Amino acid sequence: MYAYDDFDHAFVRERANEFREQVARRLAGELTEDEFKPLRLMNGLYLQLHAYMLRVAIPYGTLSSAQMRRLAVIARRWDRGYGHFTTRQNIQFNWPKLVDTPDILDSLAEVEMHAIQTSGNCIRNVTADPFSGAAADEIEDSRVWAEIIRQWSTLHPEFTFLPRKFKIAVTGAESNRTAVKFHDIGLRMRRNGADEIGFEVIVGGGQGRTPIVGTTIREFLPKQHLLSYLEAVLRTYNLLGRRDNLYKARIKILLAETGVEAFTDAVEAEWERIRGGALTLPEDEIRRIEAHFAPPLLVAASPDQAFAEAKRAQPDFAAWCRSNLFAHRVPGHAIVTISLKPSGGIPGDATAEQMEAVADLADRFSHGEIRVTHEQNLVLADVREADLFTLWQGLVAAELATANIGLISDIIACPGLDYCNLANARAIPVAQRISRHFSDPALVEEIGPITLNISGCINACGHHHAGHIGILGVDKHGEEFYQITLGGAADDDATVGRILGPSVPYDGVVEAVENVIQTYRNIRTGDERFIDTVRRAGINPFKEALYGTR
Amino acid sequence: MALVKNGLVVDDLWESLDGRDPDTIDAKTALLVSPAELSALGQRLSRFGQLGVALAPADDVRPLAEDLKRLALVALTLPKFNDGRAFSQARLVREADGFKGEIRATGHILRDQLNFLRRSGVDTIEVPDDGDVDSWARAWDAEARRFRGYYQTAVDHHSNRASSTPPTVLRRWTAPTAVSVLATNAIVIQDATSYAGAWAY
Amino acid sequence: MAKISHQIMTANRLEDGVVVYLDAQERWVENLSAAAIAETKADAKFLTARAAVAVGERRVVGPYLFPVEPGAARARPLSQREHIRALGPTVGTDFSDSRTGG
Ligand code: SF4
Repeated sequence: MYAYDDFDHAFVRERANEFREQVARRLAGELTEDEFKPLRLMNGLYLQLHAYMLRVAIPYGTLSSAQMRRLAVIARRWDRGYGHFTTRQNIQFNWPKLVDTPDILDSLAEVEMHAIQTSGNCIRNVTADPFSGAAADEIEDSRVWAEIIRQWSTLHPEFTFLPRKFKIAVTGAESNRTAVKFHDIGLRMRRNGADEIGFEVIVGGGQGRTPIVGTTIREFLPKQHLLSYLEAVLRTYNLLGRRDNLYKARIKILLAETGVEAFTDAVEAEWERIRGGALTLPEDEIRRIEAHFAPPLLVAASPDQAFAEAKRAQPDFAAWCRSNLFAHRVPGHAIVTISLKPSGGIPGDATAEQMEAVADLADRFSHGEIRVTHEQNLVLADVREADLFTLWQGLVAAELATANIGLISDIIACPGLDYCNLANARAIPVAQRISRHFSDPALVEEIGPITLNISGCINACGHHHAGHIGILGVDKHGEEFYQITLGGAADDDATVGRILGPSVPYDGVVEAVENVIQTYRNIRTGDERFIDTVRRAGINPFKEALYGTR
Repeated sequence: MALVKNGLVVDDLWESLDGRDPDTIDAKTALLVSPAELSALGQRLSRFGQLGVALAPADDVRPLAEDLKRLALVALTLPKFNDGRAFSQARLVREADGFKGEIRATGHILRDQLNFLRRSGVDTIEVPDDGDVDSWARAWDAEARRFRGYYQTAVDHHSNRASSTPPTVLRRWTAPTAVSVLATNAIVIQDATSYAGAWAY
Repeated sequence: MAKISHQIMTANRLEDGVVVYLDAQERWVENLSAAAIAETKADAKFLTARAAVAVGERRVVGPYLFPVEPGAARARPLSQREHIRALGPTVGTDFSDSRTGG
């Protein structure tokens, strides 16, 4: 993974010092809350319902075991012993004191971490494929490019006061695990006819109150031009994006209002002006970054006898292998996803002890590296088949062996009204009820692959639009209600879910989901996936089953 | 109104046209006009030795390309500190061929933005009404020294653009020996006086 | 529903973000049941003015009034949001403050 040099160390320290001064100025009355707010947000510090909340960046979702241990230390020392992994490869601490945050940032800087640009109207933490470097279907490691973008965008002088937040995702693989079509810019690696590698540039996707699937404005961008092209897009957006209405300020609205063609023309014209200039990435610069992401030396192995034996002997282990393992590019290895979704648990939460357990397991079995997924789970990317059983036993001991990746209890949920200042309704307790309802492993496996996403308000941090089943909390005269959508998807066939009907009360959500699942099981053909059934049959059968035709 | 130009307190000698007939104004006046006035009055403004244009946040810089060659000042506005259009406008003006003048930021500016403004090409700020001029001048220097270097080339850096001459801001810096696109490292300001002085146009 | 006329002044404490309420002695307290209840427009105005002073003194951030239903034992916030702010997250884990609890 990327290792800081003197420059990076100095930069992050200087940034932390700047924030320490800003906090001091705030406490001394030199800054009003109005003036301080954007400054703290640019360092990831929110003021939520109960306390401040600090959002720490996990660039492209990669952590070393030492970093994970430091997060545990921070959770214990300055928070309440746990952290929340978010849907954007960040971790949030829910209880820090303002006066402690400069110390927390210093502590993070020691392990090459920061909270820069995890909030605010700037280019946010860049996300990438959590299986980067290990996936069997990969063109190139997307983290190289995410790191290049991270550096270029860090305290970019021109793009720090954009009309609205700006999210970039990169994927280097065939299958799209980063929801590139739901980002302000999605970058997808492609090989052109001449076998060169570049990017498909997808712009204007997003969730929130106006969910839109992104549009490709350039089929192939040679990779050395990545930064100049991004700069052209951002400059166009910064100058033309709406600033009169918060809800119309994202780039997706600009694209819709100017039209794709006019927008693309403006970007291309600006790019023409600057292309080939100072932002052209020299080959050795790319190599310098690439070298940090050299894959670990893995020796291909033939199928492990003991592994096969353990699966036969231990049905629980076998079930976990079926749902939580993914194909590795090197035979005899697996990508392991660690579920942070135990039955009745808080999606994405991990205690300090669990963080340390994962760090230890990563050291023993996966070269000391951990990934964080936008589904709020963790990944050990390079595990030998022969080690899987021991690893699993370690996970069982840490209560991290839930076998449900990609299944109905692997719920994405935002913090909702239990923590978030903007929420309309709770999200976590809804997830807890649903996961408890679907806690029979055999049933969950029988239901099969499905995504269930919950947001506590229209900001859609829980990605409800992109869930096969989406649940959105709304406020009806001071009471919590939930709107249910079906058919959303974040993958290649990115789709915005359709609203099933009138919203249901808090106490009716589990029943409604159960009803949807029953309907699916009644009408599916063979082992058709849930999303395929919805796509084939439409939402009407579900609507009728749920609301009747009385 | 007080100005801080490259960290030094200076007087604002510019006058707006304010609906006056330009022919009645002394040609030695440093005259600030709007883009509309600039295009409407055209030749009648050519006798002014110092001519500047004040842009609104929504004004497009690019149609001014020809005018910029003879303008000594472009004034930009932040109606509110978080309206960041001026940053891109400054960048476009600073990179325009032949522009050698002053770029001034006015409006609602926070001292925490000085570095961003400076790196986008702004060299002068109009001190906000309630601001203490000297502390703003000190802040300009302090913010400029906060970081040893930056992750991206901007207009305050040596630029290796092949297509045009490096921007004039180059004079401020000790040119780095090797230019890295990322991590433009360890660019040291020699001392406050020479660095401020180098900026006088 | 009770009339909106019963209101409590709340804010977050600047230095640590903790939820606080304004009591009758113009102190900011963590306990909702100790909060002063405004019953008249004049009361509300008074609380608002005191809160503005506290903002100026950099003691609290973002003060506002919220409606409650006054009860014998304790006032009950009308909104779920204020309920959760007063009692903490409803997610069922023990999130008592381990920093001060030792
Ligand atoms: S979706 Fe709404 S409630 Fe959930 S975290 Fe985002 S802003 Fe808060």
